[in-house]
Amino acid sequence: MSRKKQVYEKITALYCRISLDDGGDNESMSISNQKIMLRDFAEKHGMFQYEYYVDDGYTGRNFNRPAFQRMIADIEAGKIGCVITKDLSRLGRNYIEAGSYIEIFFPKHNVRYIAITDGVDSLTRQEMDITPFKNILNDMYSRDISKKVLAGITTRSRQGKFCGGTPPFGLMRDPEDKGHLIIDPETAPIIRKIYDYALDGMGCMRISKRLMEEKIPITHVKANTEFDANYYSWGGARISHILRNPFYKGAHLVFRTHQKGIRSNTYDIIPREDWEIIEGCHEAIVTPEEWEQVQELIDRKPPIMKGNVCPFYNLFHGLVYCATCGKSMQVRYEKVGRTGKNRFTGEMREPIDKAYYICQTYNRMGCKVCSSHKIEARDLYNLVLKDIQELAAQAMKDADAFYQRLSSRMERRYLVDASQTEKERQRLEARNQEIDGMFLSLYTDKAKGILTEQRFVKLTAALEQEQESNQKRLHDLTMMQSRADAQESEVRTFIKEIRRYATIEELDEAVLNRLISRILIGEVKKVDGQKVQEVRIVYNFVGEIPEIAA
Amino acid sequence: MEKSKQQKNKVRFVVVREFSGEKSMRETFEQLIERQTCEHFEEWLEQREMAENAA
Repeated sequence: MSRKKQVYEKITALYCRISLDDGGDNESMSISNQKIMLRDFAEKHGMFQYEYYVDDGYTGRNFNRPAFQRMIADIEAGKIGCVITKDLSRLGRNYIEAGSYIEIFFPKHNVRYIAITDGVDSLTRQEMDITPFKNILNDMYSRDISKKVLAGITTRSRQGKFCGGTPPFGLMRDPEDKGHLIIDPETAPIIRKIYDYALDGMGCMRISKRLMEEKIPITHVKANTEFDANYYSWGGARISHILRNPFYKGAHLVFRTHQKGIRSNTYDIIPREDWEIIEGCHEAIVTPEEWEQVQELIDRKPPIMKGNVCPFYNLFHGLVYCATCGKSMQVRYEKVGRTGKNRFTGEMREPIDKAYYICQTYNRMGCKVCSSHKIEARDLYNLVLKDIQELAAQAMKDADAFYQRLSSRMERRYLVDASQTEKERQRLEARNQEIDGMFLSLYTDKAKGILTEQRFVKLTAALEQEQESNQKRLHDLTMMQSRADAQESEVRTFIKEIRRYATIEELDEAVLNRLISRILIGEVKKVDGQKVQEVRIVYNFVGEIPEIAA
Repeated sequence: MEKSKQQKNKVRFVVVREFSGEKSMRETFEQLIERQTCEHFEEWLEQREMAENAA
């Protein structure tokens, strides 16, 4: 059987493709025109058993197209004898792969290939010698388009326009300008909360656990949606991504990744230090200073090593450093005397009394590299607390204005606004009086015979019902008001004594991380036979010189 | 004898302060104290409410 005859016994694949870049409005390229052209050609050449394979909106840069893959499967199954396309570029714009299909795959499976407008026919070897060059030109065209699109995106991005897909969580596209981002009032408070937790010194994992506990929903639920917990499945990586994202300080990040090659689907992640950031592009959720502070906090936090659970909670995590080698200090826990009792006095010791800090370099490399710089956790705690209290006393010396401001702010925030309740009460009472008047006029109308008995009953029933519900609401309002009055007096007492509560009595992570940038522990030295150790506390604010009394 | 030896072994700490940042000391403390007071007050309100509900 001749090859030509064999071709006509099998079906003919009429392959059409158009990509978004080729332009959907280009009529000569449209799918319907391609179909008409291919059908006419097939019928004219006696190929009446044909089937369409259509990829609408797929790029020619690769062959991951559903209809094309279906056609390949049919070729491998031996169903297709001929493939016809409008031109070579419809088959593909990647000259290497297009060439391999035309030169290797189709001949291997006895498939005839025809590109109508390019005059290619594998059966007659017509124009086959020029085909690789035409494929290269098609390839160059697609590369050129890619470059132009990328250049356009880069320019827009450098102008601070958002060109990405979904905007970052907490932000949304401005309905009037798609390239401009605005704050999403629903989700922005979550971002603010995450940054507040980070400023309080909480690490990514702890923040994610806290958000899960608070049942704050995530944006995209990928796993089993019927499982309720998946709606709150915050992870450390997600939190870290949010905390590192400059979009939240109102800036725009030009590119986070870089495509390795035009055809490649692999991307290089651009290191943070090479990020191109355009400042002040949209409204910020956190201030740039806060954002920078969070970056510092994340950078300096050493990872927590897994091991035996230490009962001492390390308040100073990421704050204590060796003054000699600059490495962060490790917290260690005494293993002897696990009963927690002091051997001499029999007193119970708290976990902090058994914990101490030593230099990480000394611990790993020994005394030849760095000394231990050991400091007891209790000593450090007391030293820092005392120093902070001294500074607080100095800073809040003449703070009457501040306390007054704080009191009035708290009153505004926490005291129930009674004026609204009073207004509603007055409105309801007036309405009830009005209804009484209406009853009277209804009776008069009925007596005069203007109103029928049936209508009278209907109207009075409706009015009675309204008056009843008004009375009920009035009762509730009176109760609310009396409760609010009792609460108000208690709140006022608390606010009056605000100075008593507005002090720093103990240290916690929020106090430490908001006030202190780092603590450098010096080596223990002997001065006149006495052991002396320097503790340098680096504060997060500008110091003040205390006034010297005259 | 024992006491003096213990005293000799005890480390004397020298605290040195260093300041870095842009905010003033007063502003930083005011913000911190306001935050802490509000938290403390909210806790107090919550406890009061719980006690009221229990009653």
